[in-house]
Amino acid sequence: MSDPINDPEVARLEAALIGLAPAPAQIDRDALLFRAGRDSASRGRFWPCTAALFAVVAGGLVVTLAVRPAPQIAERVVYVVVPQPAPDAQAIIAPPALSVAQSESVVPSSERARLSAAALQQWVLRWGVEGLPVPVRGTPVSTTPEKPSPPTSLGSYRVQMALNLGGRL
Amino acid sequence: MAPEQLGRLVEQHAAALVLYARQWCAAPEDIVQEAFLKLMTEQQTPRDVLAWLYRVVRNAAVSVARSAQRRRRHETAAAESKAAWFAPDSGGPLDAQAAATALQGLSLDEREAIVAHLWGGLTFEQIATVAGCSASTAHRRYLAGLSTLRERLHVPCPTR
Repeated sequence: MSDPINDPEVARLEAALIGLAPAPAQIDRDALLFRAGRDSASRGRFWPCTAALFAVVAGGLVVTLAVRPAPQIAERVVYVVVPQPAPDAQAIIAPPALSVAQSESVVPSSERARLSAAALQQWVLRWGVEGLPVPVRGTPVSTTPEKPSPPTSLGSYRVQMALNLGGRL
Repeated sequence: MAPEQLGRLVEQHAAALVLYARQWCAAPEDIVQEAFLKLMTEQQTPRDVLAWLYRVVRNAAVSVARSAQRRRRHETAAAESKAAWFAPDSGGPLDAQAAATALQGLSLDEREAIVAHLWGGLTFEQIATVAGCSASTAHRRYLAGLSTLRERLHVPCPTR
């Protein structure tokens, strides 16, 4: 399509028109390059969108804080169960460690026979199994049943035992 | 596109692009500048940069011309720009003002083909791509425009 112009008049006119220079463009080349660089640098939208999102969230929080009702003070009675004070360990009297010999001397065999099962149970409950007198080897154990005596209470036994102790001293 | 390449394009083609855009609108510098900026922000450099620039300028100029045509109902004709199309001191055999006046008397299609080919340096294939027509149509418009210009400018016949 770019055939040479055959008509010499048209060719002359074409040459004359080409001799006319277009008016210089009023475009600042440096400013254009600056704008091009700035536009190409600000292509990403991630951070502007992120900033806008956080701005909206912050605004919502401010509005929520502004319209939130005053906090109500709830008054209620709390019952605290105070545990009973533990019994003083010092107040617990250790059971007297009596050997069988001592117990025989303290408690005569006739008196021991009078201990009822109830009194023994009370003794164990109070002093524990460790509080029972320890049998000594070689001590003859009487196999003959003694005549049962009428049961007495633990209180009377203890009184008798105290009297016997006092009697020995 | 590298900034050096863009600067070279501005130096070589900005004036012709402004003249080309002036066929439609009175303020073509902004359109040409935006076209260069758009070229800079393109992800891939167009295969034919010159044709791409002319097409972008043409589309923008046509859009601006349509907007100006709507506004013109409320404005006077005196408000239109009377900027010179050509440099006054070209030194050629033709008067710049007379040539511009003769060009303005052409139809838009003929004027577009002449300006794009003579001052823009586009081939008729490129003009066809930009204008959306065939290359033969672009060539025919070009010849018809030159014939009209010859009559209006009273170009003397060469001595044989």
